[in-house]
Amino acid sequence: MTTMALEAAAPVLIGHGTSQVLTIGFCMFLVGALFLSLMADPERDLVSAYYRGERPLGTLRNAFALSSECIPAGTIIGTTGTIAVSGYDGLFVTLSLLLSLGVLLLVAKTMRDHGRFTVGDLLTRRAESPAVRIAGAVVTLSICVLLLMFEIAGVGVSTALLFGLSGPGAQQVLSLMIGSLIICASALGGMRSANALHIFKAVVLAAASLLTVALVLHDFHWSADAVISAARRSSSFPDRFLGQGMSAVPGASATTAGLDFIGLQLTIVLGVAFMPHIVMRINTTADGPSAQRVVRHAITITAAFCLLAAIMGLGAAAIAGSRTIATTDPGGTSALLRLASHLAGGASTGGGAWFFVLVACAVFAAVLAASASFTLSAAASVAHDLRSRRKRTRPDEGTGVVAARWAGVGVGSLSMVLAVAVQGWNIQFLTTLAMAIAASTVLPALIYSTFWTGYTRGGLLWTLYGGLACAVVLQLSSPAFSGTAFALFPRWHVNWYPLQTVTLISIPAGFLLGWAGSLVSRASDR
Amino acid sequence: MPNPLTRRQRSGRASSTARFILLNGCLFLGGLTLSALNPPWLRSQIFGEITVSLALPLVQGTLLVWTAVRYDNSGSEKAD
Repeated sequence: MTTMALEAAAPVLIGHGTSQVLTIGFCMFLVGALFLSLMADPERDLVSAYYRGERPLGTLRNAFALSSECIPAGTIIGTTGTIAVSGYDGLFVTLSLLLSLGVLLLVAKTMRDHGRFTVGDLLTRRAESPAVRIAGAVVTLSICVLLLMFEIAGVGVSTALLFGLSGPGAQQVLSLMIGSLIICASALGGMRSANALHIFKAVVLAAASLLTVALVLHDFHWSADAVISAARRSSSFPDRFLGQGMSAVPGASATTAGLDFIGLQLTIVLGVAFMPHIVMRINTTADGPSAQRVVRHAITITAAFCLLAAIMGLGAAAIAGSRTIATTDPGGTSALLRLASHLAGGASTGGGAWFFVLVACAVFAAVLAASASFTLSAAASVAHDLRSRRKRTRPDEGTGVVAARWAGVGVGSLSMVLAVAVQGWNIQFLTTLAMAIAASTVLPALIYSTFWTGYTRGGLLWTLYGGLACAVVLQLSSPAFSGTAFALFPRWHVNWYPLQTVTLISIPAGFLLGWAGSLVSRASDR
Repeated sequence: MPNPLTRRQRSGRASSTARFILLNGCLFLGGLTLSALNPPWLRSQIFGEITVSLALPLVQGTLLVWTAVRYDNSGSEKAD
């Protein structure tokens, strides 16, 4: 979440009356959610129970959990905000998110049939080797640490905003406090705790979204035309609101803007399905056909959420004003909370405050559930892929779970320290980078492993390390990192790569490197 | 000698996969390319305030849900 944007929105959102209700409601929610997570601690210290839950969840519950995994907090806030500010560009992002589950449907059976717990397990189907497991763990940690940083930094900002506090100091303290609680709860509870949090989040989010949409439509006498018309008129560029290009970086050429748009959509469609926490979720199903069935139901659930998000985004533009939101917050990250505040009756109302609390809790539940999944994936890759390979013997069940818990605490603490260090910086691009890494490494590796018998261990390592390096280096050379007003380091000028997104180059590079690596390793074997 | 039923099952599975990819992929890539190349086309009104830009994601989303159900069912039928 953009810190400055939410800080700018704070006075509009929080009135004195609302703040008291909010503090009480939010604290009750926080304690309840963490209690739920700890109660879900696995009864037996078995590695499979820790990584997959005691037994497979039912199809529908697992579908809700998978759908919830695909819609983390950043996505909920980000998509509604992008729709509110950029109209069609935001709608297409929502569609791409849904289509990423279509990609997952195609690979779910293969993933489950060949996977056990982690990305490393999935990749070693072609070449069982410590080097492949280490490479899988490096990719997993790169993705999970980036995502955890983003979520923990975001929770500090939004909690400070909800409590009416401002300044990086308060945000850092809140990030540390809530981040520690989240990480301890995630590390202790394992997949069973993550399951409980995701289903809880899905229920709270569904309730908050349905209520918000009902209130938006009620405000416009249940006329979709009226909502769309008001949203369009509230934009700074009403004629362009429902066309592509509103989210383009100011000053970018039409070609750059078009390529960035295509790159972002491909990043989402091809990235989400191959994220480590999604691979772990697929591995919680009983078998390949069950995995496919779960994804199919998750598509329907996510489609329903995308429709609600579209109405909420257009509603935020229509009610809170697209131009008003964009003035203080070009990314639109405050749009959902602004909409909730308006629907609750304004900043100082007491009656509607509980509605605002519900929306805030839905966002917080999303952060909690997403952090639990990221922590668990990272812990699994350290304890299962790195540790077991180093010891060269299969560790016993009890020490395996203890190692996973400590690994979760370790990775979580590292992410938390990094999140606190970058508090107040514009780290929006981290989620796109995480998806780009998944799309440039796991996707080519999985496709080659499935369809090409000539794919070797050398090719697999080239794909993983090469794809990762390509995505990271290009992102660090992009305008999102330096050289522009909205970059992480605006005064640095290392932005020789012209696009914001990297997948147009890094995905083909991942495939090419895999092919070249296989050829080279086969030639050297001869 | 390969089992002909298995081969038929496999080719049926491949065709349902191909159908799923073709339908969703073509519509997505077509929409994406047209959006990037010809933004004014998206603003064409279909009825009321509904423009191509609003109808396109709705149609694509509905198509995905429908084809996902068919894809999964075709897999289950062959497994039976």
